[in-house]
Amino acid sequence: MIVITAIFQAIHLAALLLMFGFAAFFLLVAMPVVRKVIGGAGNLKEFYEWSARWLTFMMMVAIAAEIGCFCIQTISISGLPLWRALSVDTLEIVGTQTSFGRQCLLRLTTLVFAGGYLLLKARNVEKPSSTWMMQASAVSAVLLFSVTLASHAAAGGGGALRWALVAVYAIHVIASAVWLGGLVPFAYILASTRRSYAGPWVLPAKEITQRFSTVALISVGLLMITGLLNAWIFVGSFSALATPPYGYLLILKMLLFATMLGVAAQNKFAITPQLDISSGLKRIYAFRPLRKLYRNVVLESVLGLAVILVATLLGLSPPAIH
Amino acid sequence: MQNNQMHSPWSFIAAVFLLLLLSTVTADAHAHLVEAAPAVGSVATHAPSEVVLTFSESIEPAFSSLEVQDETGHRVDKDDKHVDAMNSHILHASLKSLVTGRYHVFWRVVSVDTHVTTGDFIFQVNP
Repeated sequence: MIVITAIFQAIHLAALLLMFGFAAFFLLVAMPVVRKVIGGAGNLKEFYEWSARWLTFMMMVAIAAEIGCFCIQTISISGLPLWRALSVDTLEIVGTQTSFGRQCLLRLTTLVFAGGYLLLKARNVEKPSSTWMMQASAVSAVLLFSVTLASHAAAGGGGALRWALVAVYAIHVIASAVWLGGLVPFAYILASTRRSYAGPWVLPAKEITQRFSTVALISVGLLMITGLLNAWIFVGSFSALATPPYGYLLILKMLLFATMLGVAAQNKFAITPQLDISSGLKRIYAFRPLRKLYRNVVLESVLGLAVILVATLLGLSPPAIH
Repeated sequence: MQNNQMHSPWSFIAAVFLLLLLSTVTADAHAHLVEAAPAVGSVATHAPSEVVLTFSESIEPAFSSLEVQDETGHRVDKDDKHVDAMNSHILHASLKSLVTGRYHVFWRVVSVDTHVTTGDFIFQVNP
């Protein structure tokens, strides 16, 4: 049951991270580069429409995962047979008489109404809209923050200490959303460069790579600082790392993170310098490193999904320090 | 009009944020039994009128249960378990008149962050 719960929660978290990451990538990387390099919004329109479609799809996934989590937790906490646990009466009791249920319903309501509003606005906007993206990122940030309020961080201490821990965890989650969530739209742009030397994204590819690299570097820095703080608070000592399952899961998460860092470092220091696309001939030579970069970004994305699953399992396990 | 259209979604988002903030309770770990009255394994010289269990975390009344059985397996509580109105860590159940003998307490609680814990213990009545 705990594995099924973890899967649904991981899907929910991944959907929210991707929503925020898509919006952040558009606002911080794609839009500034395209307007600077090309001088127009031609390529941006197609990318915006693609991002908006995926963003709304992620909202649907988040809604479905939230419903799944609600049902799974109802089965778990009611202790009733499946057919009785998922009856209207039981679901109503959970939704109205438990803290978890009330929060779940509020998040679902937010997703449905905010998602509906964003979908409606997306259809009525004919050109790339930074306002729409900012609203989408705000909705996903609010929902991500609600996830942090249900985490181990929110259980630690009282008063100011509790809110300090929540703030640390919130920064950790948002930083991961910017980095992990931004990998998918970045992969999309790199994939389009593989199809043609004359494609719309070939010319700005290097600048986009460098800009995303900078954004990711800041995110990684924040992740390391907040990650170390969380480990110090919820593990407490090196010996506690040997405490199953929390300690082992944390070691696994750190190993996955280190692997991602290694891949990102190769992207930044070995591949990006080869992306000289200033002339027609050089564009041809840049094709190989672009393909390599694309493969690495896909690898990072897969590792990122694994990190999200491990992080969800950590959230379901009692901290090692307890 | 353009400014109002831009502000209204932000107001909505801010309102939702506040609602989420206000509706969220502290996320706790599993609720463990901290104290029981009658105490675990105790021999009471007077028949208790209720069983009071204190847990390490706040518990949800819905789906939490407390049952007391005599040596023959018959229920001797009044099936009125309830969480203390002043302290959500405490669960009560009233008892029928108990005679001399051994009694078995079974409990199942759901903490506010949905973790389920169960347990049981014995106490005796020997006036």
